[in-house]
Amino acid sequence: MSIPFYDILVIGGGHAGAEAAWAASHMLGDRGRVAMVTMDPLAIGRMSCNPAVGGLAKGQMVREIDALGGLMAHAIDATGIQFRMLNRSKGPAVQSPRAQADKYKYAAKVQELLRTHCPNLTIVAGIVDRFLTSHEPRTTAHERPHITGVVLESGQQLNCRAVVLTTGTFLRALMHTGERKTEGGRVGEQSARGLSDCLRELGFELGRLKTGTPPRIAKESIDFASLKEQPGDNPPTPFSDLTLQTEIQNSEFRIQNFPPLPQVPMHITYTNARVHDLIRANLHRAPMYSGQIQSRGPRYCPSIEDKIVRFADKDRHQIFLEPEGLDTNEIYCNGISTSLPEDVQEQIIHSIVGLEHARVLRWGYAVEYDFSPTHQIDASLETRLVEGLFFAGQLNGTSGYEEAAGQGLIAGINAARKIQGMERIILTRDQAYIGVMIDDLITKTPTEPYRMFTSRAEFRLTLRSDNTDQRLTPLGRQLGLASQARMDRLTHKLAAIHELTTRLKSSRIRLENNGTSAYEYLRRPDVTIDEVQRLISENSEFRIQHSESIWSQVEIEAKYAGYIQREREAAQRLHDLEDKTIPLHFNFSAVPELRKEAKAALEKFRPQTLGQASRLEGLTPSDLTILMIYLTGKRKAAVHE
Amino acid sequence: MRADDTIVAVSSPGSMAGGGLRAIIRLSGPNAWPLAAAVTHLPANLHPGLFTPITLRPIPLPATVLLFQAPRSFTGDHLAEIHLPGSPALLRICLDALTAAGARPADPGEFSARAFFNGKIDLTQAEGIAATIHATSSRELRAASALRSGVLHHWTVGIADRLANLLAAVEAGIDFVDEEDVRFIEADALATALHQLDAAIHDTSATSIRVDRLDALPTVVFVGAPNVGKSSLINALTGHDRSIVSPIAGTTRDRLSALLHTDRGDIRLVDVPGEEPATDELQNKMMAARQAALLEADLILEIVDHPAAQLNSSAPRADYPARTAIIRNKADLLDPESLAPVSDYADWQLVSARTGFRIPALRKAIAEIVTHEQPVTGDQIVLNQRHRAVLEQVRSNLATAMNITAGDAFLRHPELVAAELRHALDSLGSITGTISPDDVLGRIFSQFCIGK
Repeated sequence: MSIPFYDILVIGGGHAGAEAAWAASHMLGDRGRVAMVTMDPLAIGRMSCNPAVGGLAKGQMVREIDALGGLMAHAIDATGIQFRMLNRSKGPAVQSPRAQADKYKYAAKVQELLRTHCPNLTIVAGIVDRFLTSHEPRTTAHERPHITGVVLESGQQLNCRAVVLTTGTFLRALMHTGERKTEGGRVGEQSARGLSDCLRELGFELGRLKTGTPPRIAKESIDFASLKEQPGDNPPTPFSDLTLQTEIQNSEFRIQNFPPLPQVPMHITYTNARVHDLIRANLHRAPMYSGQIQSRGPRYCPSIEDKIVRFADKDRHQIFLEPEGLDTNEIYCNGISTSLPEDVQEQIIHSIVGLEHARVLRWGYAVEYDFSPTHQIDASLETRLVEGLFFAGQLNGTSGYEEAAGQGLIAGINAARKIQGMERIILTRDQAYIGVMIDDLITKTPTEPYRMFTSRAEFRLTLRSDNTDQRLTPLGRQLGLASQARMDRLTHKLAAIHELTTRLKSSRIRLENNGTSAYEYLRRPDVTIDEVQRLISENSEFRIQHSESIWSQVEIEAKYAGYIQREREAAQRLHDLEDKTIPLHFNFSAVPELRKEAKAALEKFRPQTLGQASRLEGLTPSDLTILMIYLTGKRKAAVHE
Repeated sequence: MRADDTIVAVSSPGSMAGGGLRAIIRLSGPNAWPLAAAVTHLPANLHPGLFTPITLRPIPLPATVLLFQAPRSFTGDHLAEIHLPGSPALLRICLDALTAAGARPADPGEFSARAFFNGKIDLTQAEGIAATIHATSSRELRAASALRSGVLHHWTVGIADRLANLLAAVEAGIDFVDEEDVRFIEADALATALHQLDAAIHDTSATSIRVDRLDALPTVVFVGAPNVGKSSLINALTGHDRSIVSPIAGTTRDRLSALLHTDRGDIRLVDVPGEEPATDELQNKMMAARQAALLEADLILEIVDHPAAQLNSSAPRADYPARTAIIRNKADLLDPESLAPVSDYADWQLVSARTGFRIPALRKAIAEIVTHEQPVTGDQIVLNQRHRAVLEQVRSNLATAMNITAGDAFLRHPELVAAELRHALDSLGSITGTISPDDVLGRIFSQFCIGK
């Protein structure tokens, strides 16, 4: 029997895997075949923690994925049951879309999109046990082995030219509820064991991280009458540029009656003194405090036991009750992630207003899993040890569906480019949140699951949700990922912005003492679009024909102009450093003037540009100056091996 | 600059000119020890320590040699010090012997540059050492040693810390909107904190010792709107007609200078244009020149023409980076009786350039203020021009942030306040070290309970 061959294998069907398979499949088209290997094809696109997509900075990333031609925004627009624009009252740079999903319909939609839009994609059910490489690792100094295939637990072998590994929390996954430990990455699912050992044999170092999830309770057992309701936006804003598209004909992603699903509210309740007492009395039974879990959890998503211990003076904590879907009675208790034993969880829930008689459908748990410290990948997400092997998602120590999807997309793109002999694609820090994330990862290994925040972006006023298309769609089109329809839409939009800007610059507004152009007037922080429109309409020749979103684009550009200019100058300085590349086999240890800490950091992360080096921890400006002297060739030593 | 060879220099001030009984020759680099052994009778087995007495090879005189091992030396390299009699001729002979043996005469500041590159000292300390090398008076020397001691570093870290905490509070309100524990910092509280921070920087900047100005010509800068009589005031003070005063070399055509001779020495008077928003390249340059002139000032005189100005306080109308006084010109246009209510003005603050009214008093006051020697003590903040430019940048960011915070714009545009604070922190980072986004996030997580 011949061994099946695929150009690219994507291992894992979570949010990173789905995006990687989508990107690789679109980019290869009829020039190659892609396979996704997953434990359970029905679990593709599953939301294992909270049933929502987007949020601050994460929403921008979903919009970036969409602008490049990715999958996630289409799936959430089709299955969202509550859409909200966060920070709506604040500046456009910090507004982010977020939506609650019907998590069953979401996963089904992801599966449907892959099935209907990726004709060259095969889904293989199985667990990967080990990798096949061209030769043993480290046999010669510079010839790293390249990936040639995988072997499944069933013994089946698959050959390939590149692999994107997206195993999420499944590597040596261990779930904790109180004193009870269960192997597995999600309730009712297995753990991937063989792969951890295989990665170690190939020379990979693995670390351990922890995350957690709250209990789910039955909807009909909640007393909603006593709880505060939180509705969504009306009208809701979709994630994808194509969802409401009307100008472009034949857009297959247009949704006629957006949102297609009925919209539902969330409810808010609070913990109280009795809950806090219960937790304090049972801390010794919480795995994080009994010493059963050693690895670190995220500071931004602490368990309820962490909150009680660290913020002892607070007398209550907020809980959002989020429906997991329209046809299910599962309610996600956002805010009380816990790994306390079941009997304690039950008492806690019954002490909360509205949940006095709540029935628990699934207990909260903590999960510990292996991750790959990120000095082992480069900016294209390819591993340094094995050529053609790419890592994406939680495996790289991140948290969140959006972070995973962003990496999956980039890994898929770069795997497809690699096997076609094309240059890798790296998004820069001033180009996309996805770029910020990957750059952060390759210059610092996460000590807690990495989550994106807008405050991580130095170019926050440039990296907005409203201009993802301008930032990324031309690149997406060039890669063969974004469709022509997307490009046409962008061209229309840019033409409209240009036209409106020109008109505003040439129309004068009469003010008390003198006049100014409408554009100059709009630049003032206290002037609104409505006011400009009113003043202009007094001037009868001008017809206001542009949509609200075009007006708002022009306003944003006018009002942020000075700040964006400042960011552009800073970005130029950044690019100057990024353009100074460091040769692949540069021997940092051979630079005598570098301090020991600097050498260690440089040898570990092996930055490929001076810019990356400048962001490494433990490097001082003088280390960089020394490095620059060597790179410009003013000093030669045994550094270029 | 190279860093792999061995450099040599006489490191005791004045020795080459014959000053001092003892002199020190310093060697730094991989061959510092063998080179020291080449000119002295050191034991064959070299090890770190103090060797005394040791006979010099070129001329058999007693010397003391200290050997330091890398990285435990001032420069971080192997280091040798030869302490010997302070004769210029002897020093010359030893230096020649050392360079013949392979040592390279050090460039100015090269020992500190090596110390900086080897991570032994930070930038402010390196600048202190540079100032020490160039000090020409005992006051400069004391100021330079204060710069070297790290007082500035310590103070700047404190300012950066306060800024980072404010930024964390603003960022928390942006990134964690749905967290019930995170309250957006109130505009009032933010405005107060920004104001206090700005005042702290201003006070330090205005009262600090300016190491690069200590022995420079005292400088008085005249600011004010056009036509308030800045030029005629300068002419009246110097007794010259401005048209025959040639601009002092090195000043731009936008900053006219004149010399005022007093019995306490010469004082430079500089006239700068009034502040206006820069709209073209020329104006941009003019405003940059204006800022540079202000940074050099020992005293700033803000000139107003009196009759139009209803000023009841002598407080300056703007924050300037040095001691400032208001001068009301055109007193000749004034009804003498209206002089009475203006109480907290000194005599010399009300003058007339046209009639010469109280010009001698103003001349005397200027001379007293600018030639008054600031005492230099060890715990004072010492700034050079680069530091002061950074602090002015920080203050301009704070001013914009305060403007945004003053209206209701803060609630709508916290991201712009954050942008100003980030920029200010980045600027401060060039004096100390940078504060990363990770550090700001850490502050948020330690202050607020975050996580649904």
